[in-house]
Amino acid sequence: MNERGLTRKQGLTSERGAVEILEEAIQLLRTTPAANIAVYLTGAIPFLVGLLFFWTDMTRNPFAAERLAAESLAVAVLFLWKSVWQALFEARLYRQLSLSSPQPLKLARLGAIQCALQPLSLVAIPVSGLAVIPFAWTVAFFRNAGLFAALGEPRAVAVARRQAGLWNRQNWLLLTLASLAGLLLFANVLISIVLLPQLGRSILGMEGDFARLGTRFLNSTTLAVAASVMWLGIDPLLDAVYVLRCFQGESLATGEDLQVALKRTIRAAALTLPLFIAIFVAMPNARAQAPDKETQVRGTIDPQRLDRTIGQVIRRREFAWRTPHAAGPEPQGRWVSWVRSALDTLTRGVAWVMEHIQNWFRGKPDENGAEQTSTQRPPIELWIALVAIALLVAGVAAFVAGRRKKAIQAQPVKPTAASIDLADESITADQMPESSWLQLAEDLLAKGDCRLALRALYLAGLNSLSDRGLISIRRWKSGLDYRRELERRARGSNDAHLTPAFARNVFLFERGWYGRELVERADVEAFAQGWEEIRRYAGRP
Amino acid sequence: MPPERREASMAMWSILSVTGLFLAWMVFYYFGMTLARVPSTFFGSTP
Repeated sequence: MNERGLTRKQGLTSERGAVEILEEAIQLLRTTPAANIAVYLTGAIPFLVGLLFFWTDMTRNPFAAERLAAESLAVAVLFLWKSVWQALFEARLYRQLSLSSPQPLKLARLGAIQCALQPLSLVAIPVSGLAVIPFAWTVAFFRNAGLFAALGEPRAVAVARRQAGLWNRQNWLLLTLASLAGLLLFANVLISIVLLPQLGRSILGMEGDFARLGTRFLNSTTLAVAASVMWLGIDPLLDAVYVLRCFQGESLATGEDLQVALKRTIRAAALTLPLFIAIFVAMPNARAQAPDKETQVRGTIDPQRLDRTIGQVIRRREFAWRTPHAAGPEPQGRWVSWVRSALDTLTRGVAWVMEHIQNWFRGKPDENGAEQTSTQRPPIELWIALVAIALLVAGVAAFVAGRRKKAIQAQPVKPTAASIDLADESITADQMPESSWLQLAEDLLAKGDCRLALRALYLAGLNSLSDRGLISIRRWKSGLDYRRELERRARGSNDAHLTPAFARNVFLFERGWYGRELVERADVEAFAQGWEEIRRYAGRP
Repeated sequence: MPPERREASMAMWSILSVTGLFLAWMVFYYFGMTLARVPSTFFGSTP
């Protein structure tokens, strides 16, 4: 690279807006090849995964301190790994902007510089954040250092230091905007993480561990995951921003940005010039198309025929509604004159009220031409009009209120045992309480319908388990679904017999309900005994 | 760059990079130690 002769004055005179730089950075990231993004992610993903593991292990595991040395060393190595790949990513972005031919990559040198410098950022950035004033410079310096080291700049540290000092106001604004964007992104990611399981349960009926956690899902690990995702979004943007700043800073001495702009213009001109030449060459020979016979005929159209056609068109229904009525004698007749006189009276009344209201506010001129003051008593007609309006409003309000009171409130209809059709596959266990199902089972058993009694008992059992919070009843769930759900939810319970007992009963029910064998009274009794057993296990603390 | 100066530069950067690794290790070690010392109730776990 060339020796730079930058001065602060030069730098300040060509300072660009922070929003403009951010827009360019976003554009740079959008146009960058996927390979460059892959380079960034190669470094960032392992580091973030390692850091999240380290965070979770240290915060959750009471024996984590035994592994602290090894795990912290691993995270430190991953941090250096990320720093090297981040520098390579920045260098690729820079080469996307620059015209200069890339220097051969010296990976060992880059690794050494990054290993030596970037760990300092772990201390320097928080300390400068506390000191406030050097914060923006410090952030810029560490990012610039990685960039220039990856670009093969012999004096990477010195150049990074000089570039970090450029355009301080822009640097601060960029960091402020990036912080705000980061906060917003963090909030959005967090809301998505917390709400997605709930939405999945509400809309799709997917009930998983995350959905059942509810608000307890919002813990330090979730916050750390949201922060990591936010960082994956903001960090490459900041890289692109500092790459742009460095490119523009370098261009102050080299004029490379002008060369790039000129080259782009020439390239665009080279593409469009042949087109222009072709147009200008072809233009003298261009001739307007000769009018054909049909056009000639159209040019000599008969004006009377045209008027007639227009008249026909505006009489169509789709246009007639907006055509004004033709002037002429007004319609006569007893009803017509009555309506007309009522409308006139109403119009005069409204005009009279409006006039008196206006006079009241303005002050009515007396006989001598002097205006009355607003403190004088308003005329009696105005009071009458106001009282009439108030009465009218009160009457309408009373009418509306009376109608509301009369509205009949619908009572929820609870299905009774008599209204339940047990043969219907769509009925669910929560349509009646457990006691009603049991009563129904007894009635059916007394009538000798063992098959339906079996189903009523099965639904009573499901209802009982649902009341204990061990299953959630859904129309689409099969016996296997309930069994899996019970296994999952009862995992923490002390009794290991609950799930096998439930599985046995589900088998008995499905064999009786879906099978071809006739259901006997003994089957129903065995089933009822099984449910008693399940109730006993489920009721244990 | 003369060879002896180049070697000195390489040695210096090697020492600095090892120092950097130790510094990063130290930072993460103390960070982890702080996390491990915080009561688990702070992070939403059952005590």
